[in-house]
Amino acid sequence: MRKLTFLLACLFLVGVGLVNAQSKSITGKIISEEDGQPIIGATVIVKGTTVGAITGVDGDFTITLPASSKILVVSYVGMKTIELEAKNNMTITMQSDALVIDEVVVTALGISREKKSLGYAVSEVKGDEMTKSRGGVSNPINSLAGKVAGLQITGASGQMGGSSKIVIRGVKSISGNNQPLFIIDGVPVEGTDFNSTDAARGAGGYDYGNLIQDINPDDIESISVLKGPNASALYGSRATNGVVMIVTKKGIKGKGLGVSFSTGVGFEKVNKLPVMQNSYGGGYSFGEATINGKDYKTIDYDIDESWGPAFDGTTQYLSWYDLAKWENGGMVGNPTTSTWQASNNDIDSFFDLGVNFTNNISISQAGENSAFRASYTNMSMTGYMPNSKMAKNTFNISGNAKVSNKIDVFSNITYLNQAATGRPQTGYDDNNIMQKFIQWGQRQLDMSELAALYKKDDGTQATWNRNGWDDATPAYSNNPYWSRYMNFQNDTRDRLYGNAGAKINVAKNLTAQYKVSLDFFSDKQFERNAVYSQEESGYSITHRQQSEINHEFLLQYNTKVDDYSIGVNAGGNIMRQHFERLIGESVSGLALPELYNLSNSVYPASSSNYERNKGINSLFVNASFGYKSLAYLELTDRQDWSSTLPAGNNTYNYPSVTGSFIISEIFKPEWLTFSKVRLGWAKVGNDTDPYRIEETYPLYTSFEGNHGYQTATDLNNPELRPESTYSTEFGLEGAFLDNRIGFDISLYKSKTIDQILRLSLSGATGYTYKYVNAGELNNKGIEIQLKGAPVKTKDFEWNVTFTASSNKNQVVELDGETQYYRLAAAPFKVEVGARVGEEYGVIMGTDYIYDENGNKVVGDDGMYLSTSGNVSLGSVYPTLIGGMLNSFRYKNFDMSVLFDGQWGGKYFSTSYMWGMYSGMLDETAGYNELGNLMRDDPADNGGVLVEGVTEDGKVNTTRVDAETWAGGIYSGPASQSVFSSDFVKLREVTIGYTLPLKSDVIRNFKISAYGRNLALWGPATKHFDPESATTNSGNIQGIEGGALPSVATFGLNVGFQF
Amino acid sequence: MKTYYKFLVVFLIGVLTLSCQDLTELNVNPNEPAEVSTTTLLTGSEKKMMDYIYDNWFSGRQALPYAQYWAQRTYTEEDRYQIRESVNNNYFNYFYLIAGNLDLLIDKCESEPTVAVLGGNVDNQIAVAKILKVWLMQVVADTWGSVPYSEAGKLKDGVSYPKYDELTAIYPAFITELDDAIALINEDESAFNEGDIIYGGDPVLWKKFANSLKVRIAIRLSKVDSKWKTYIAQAVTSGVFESNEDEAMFKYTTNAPNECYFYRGYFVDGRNDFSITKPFCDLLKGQRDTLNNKTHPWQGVVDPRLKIYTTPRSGKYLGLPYGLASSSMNSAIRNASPSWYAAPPVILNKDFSVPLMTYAELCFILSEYNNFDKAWYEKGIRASFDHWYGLAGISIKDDVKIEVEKYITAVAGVANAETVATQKYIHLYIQGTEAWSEYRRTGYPTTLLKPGEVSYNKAGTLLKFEPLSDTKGDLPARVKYPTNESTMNPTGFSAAVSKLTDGTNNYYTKMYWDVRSVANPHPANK
Repeated sequence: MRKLTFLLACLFLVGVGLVNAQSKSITGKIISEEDGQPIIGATVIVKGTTVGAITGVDGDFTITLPASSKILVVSYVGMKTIELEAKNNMTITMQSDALVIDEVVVTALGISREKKSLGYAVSEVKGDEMTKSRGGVSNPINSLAGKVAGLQITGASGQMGGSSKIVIRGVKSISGNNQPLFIIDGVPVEGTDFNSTDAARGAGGYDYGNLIQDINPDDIESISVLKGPNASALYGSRATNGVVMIVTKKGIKGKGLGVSFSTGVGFEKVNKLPVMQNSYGGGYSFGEATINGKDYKTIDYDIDESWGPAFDGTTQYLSWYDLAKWENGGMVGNPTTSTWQASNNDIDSFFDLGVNFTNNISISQAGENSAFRASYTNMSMTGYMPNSKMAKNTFNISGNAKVSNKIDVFSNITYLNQAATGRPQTGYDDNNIMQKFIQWGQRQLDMSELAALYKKDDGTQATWNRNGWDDATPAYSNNPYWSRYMNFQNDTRDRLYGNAGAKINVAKNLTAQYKVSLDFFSDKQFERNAVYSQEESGYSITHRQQSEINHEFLLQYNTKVDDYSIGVNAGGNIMRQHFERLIGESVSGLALPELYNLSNSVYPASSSNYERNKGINSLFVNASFGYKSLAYLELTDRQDWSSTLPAGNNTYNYPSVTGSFIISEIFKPEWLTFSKVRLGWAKVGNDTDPYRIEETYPLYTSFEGNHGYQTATDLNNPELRPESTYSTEFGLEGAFLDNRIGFDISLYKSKTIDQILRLSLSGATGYTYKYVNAGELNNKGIEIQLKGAPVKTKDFEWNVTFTASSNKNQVVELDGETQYYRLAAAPFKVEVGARVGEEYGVIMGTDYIYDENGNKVVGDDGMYLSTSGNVSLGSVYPTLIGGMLNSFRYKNFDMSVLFDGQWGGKYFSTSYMWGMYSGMLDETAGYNELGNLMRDDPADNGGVLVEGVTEDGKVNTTRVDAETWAGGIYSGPASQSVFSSDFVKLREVTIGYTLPLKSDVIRNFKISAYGRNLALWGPATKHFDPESATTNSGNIQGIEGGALPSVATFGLNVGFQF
Repeated sequence: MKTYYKFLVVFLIGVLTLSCQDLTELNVNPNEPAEVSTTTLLTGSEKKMMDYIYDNWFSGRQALPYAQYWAQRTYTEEDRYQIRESVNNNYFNYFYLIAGNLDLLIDKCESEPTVAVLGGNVDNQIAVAKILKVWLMQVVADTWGSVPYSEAGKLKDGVSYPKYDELTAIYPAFITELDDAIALINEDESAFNEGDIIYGGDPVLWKKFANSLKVRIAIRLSKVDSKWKTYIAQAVTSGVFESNEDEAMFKYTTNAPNECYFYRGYFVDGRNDFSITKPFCDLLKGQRDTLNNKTHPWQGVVDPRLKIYTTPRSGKYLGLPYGLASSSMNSAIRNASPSWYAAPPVILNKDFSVPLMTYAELCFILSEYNNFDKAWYEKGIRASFDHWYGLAGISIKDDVKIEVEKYITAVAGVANAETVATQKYIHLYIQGTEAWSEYRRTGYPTTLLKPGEVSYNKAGTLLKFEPLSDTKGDLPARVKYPTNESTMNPTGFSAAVSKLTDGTNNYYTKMYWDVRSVANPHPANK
């Protein structure tokens, strides 16, 4: 530690010393016309001499003018070369060349680089890709899906602000974080979620979404995706999984004050629901009741299944609604009766049309010595779930100023405030209405009746699932409207992130920069269960707060000697993260109905708190060398000291080397526009989460004044070491026929060893997990991006971008003889884990038994036999993902159509399993292969004959009654409920029109419309959108449990620039 | 310019001070202690053990239905021997984690006696932990059969895949452990000055419990190990329970969240899932099973404990037919049995006391040990009444006394294998595993419904008990190993499965102390 501080001090003293050096020459700055951003690495030469300079990180240069000439020649790849007369403090604006063959991208530490000089793959997406369709109304990050090769984004489209799983180039850590690091203007921002494991494994709870949804698309200028660890070695271990670097909009030098305004309206509509049977009603059979001497037909109100009598459209029975109305009226007279028939207002009528409005206004101005931009975005929405809404306000202000000719100061701050009400509950939970609609329920239920009377006049609940005709208390299910209007949650989040810093021009070509960045959020969640609910009433408040501060020091040096350019960046970073959580919960229910305060707890409310600290100190250096425009080499090295590892083992080093060679500089036939080959190698170290070293004892109970402690379920390890990922990458780029066709291919391979694993164990060892350094996980893959411009005329342009990536992942080793690592167990039947020799993230469950000929074996009872233990039923991660973007421009109209898809993954559907068991899904009714009703008695040739052979090899001939057969989906092989997650989606369509204006007042006017998630092809079951199984951003994937329906979103955006 | 530098220097000093902060200090867990006393480990172990054994999952959906005390009102899969894998996986792990907690307690006593001393006599503490662990591990062994024992809880010694021990080794090891514990106890010094919910740290009571538990284990071996009599003789000499005052009970409280887990399952989770079974209810009512033409040892004699074990519905005491398919359990059948949700019996009291072992059980065992001695048999019945009436807060006097005496007179006349086992079964209500195990050892009571027998006459249709797993026409002989073990402990698991009947993980492989056969359903003691 002392070494580090000494070094940092030295670096600064050097920096300070150099500031005093003065030189006599003129200075200037080069910016891009397009965005006002400085151009780094542009060449400035005094015409007719060899005197020259290269612009620094600020686009600035200093040049000593000889007496002979005052004309400067400024050149930069992709920009038009210009000649002009030199003046002191001049700002030179460069225009982009019509024939752009290479572009500038933002790389690690926010340094803009010529893309051709990079030895690794970087993909850039413009900010307007995110505002065009806003990712629907859910997670804005979803709008990147299908647009970047190698980037997989899976998001449940239908959850307001729900989680999205983001993976770049496959999973690298078996048990650790696999989400890329998000950097906004150099600020690492928290992007993961804090959903419970239960929410992730489909067992219940709310999906609060991952925190990256806090980014505001309106403030984004561009997004760079640094895919491999090569690209990101400078961001530390969190960048092992790649970096999504977001650059926000800044003040643009323009004509005075720039004002832009945009407004959008969006809608979301449920477009995919499971297909339900509509022939049989709830319960098992009719019963009887006598009220005031009159006999009535009743049903099994307390059975949440649909194996009841067939709908006949004539039988009169006492529905739950008849009884509830009668009870609500004081049981005066006789109850009404209802007709036994399929629902008139089925599940689909439960959902509303979600509506959202987004307004953004931004003001920017840039002068000679300063620039600023301020922006405010307001979003408000009502969701498609009854009683759901959300509002979000985002303020962003950024600015920079030259306080002297040596010192620039800059700052960028975003404040976000968000409030949501009525997020949907997920998984196998009391108030997840999808679990109650699909997995369990009765098919005759009418939504309008359920809506009309969910709360009686006395405040008690009226639900269909009552304990008996004479007992109105709920059995298993609340009335879905009670769930939505009485048992709702709400939450708020305040978040502040930003940075401030100063840059000093220490000497010619040398700058020193200090930057402090902060990411702070305070998130409060309030969850309610009303008195008279099926479950115990309750109220809980969870408050989470996290702050992360990074201090970053950076020295940058750029120079050019003859044909050689050299750039060196060296610096240090100090990161401190502090998290705390405070939970207050009612105990034993609430005393008064509808009073949500912890003081209303029947017993004094309980509280608990948790705190977590983490720190990392780092030193890093990066050096890049270029020879002409032909060859480039970059070396990086970083050393981290992490608080989470044991002293003595807590530091790790990670170097990288990359190079690129521009083939087209030496071999350039007519048809070849550009060609480049790149190679890279990197090692990235990684630490772990806090408190995994020392053994501590969790509290089990506080019983009558006695504290009861217990052993932890996890055995910590005082000997943990850092883990390492080694990766190599090869890439080839080419552009042909005047840039009309182009490709970019990357091949990569990575190996992560010494992984810090939370290894699952048999409880018989005394623990259920232990932390070890073990394992090897390999990834190899290919990413292809093809670009083409089939038509390119003045008025009409058609561009096609095709991306595809395939990642092959293999768990080579776990811990010694350990063959299996469990990530999580689903609430029923399966678990997700890693198995040696297979892909990461396999579903483990019982499978069919197959005979030698591959036939499924059926038991004497006519039901499928299953394996006695769990076997691998396939990986949850797809092996191939891809997208195709077609964009068109005709005069001032533009249009884009994006398809994307994935292949090769699997998921387990809890909804399918229970929906079959309970006679709710379509497959549980209808006709069998003989053309008879499958719900008829097998003795009368009804029932189901499953395909397979008996144990002695004969074709199965034993018919099973439908209910037993459907029950077998639960009791039989788990593989019956495992489905392929393949799909192709019409992900996004946008249409826009830009009004040509010559006015000085309104400089730009654009109107656009979008639709997202418009069509789905190829899902393995007609019931679900495979993407809807995502309820968290972590490693536990592939378990669908009461998934919310898939939604289509569409909307209209209008933007003005003044 | 100079001011900038001054500012910069001051600022740098600030930042560098921050980075000098010792990183390892940041990694000290502020949420949990790194050191705990043995008294707190005891409280944690005792409560966790009782919470997990006596709840609506392990007991409610497994042990109590297997013993046919409880049936499920709606979803009957577990009653019909189709286990919920997650429950089987979890409870197997939970029990071993609790055993690990007790190992830790012993380890702390041995390695850091000063910490332990603060809470009581170290040897006594070791003894108590050993006794509780034997009690717990017997439940585990009685449930699954061969299980990890000698290598269990030894992760820190590098054992990730503990081997499964044969029951022939495990039960004698229990006896040895108890002997060690009994030898360690110093009756003059408190074991735990605080934190012992069961016995308040009383070493004398712990010793009596250890000896009584030894008697319970010995009787389990009565058909297979002739040493069982020696074990009992040793225990009696050393000192067993002498009255209900001595019995090992864990009393919950009325304060949330420390209510008994039966109560929590019903009223916190809001699940009215269970009720008393028809076979058990009929046994208590003195009613013969006419559907299957069975006999009743005391036909026509109503057991007064009926009113404590369950509650009436519309004035009638009816039990829930056992083992019907969920779809046969219609509202009419369900509603004929009591809704304990509406009228809870004593077992659903918030502060119910759950047993580790009672005096009445000891009496029945001693009766059997003394060739079905009548005096011990009657003592057992009386102790059972005292126990259950005590829990219900009813004193046995006046009319109650007359009723009880009348019953005792009617049933206490004959002490034999059947009457002793049947009275023991009635007494063991709520101790599902013990009652089910004793059925497996003795074949009694005969009133239990076997797979394939008629469970209910639904308007002339005879509905049968149709299990979902093969149990060879009998109650399950064991519970299947959790599937979890097949992946987490593959070597131990497959070795253990290969030794089961037919080499499959089934419900019908008998425990080694279960030597019943079709020809000899009630084998004699050895």
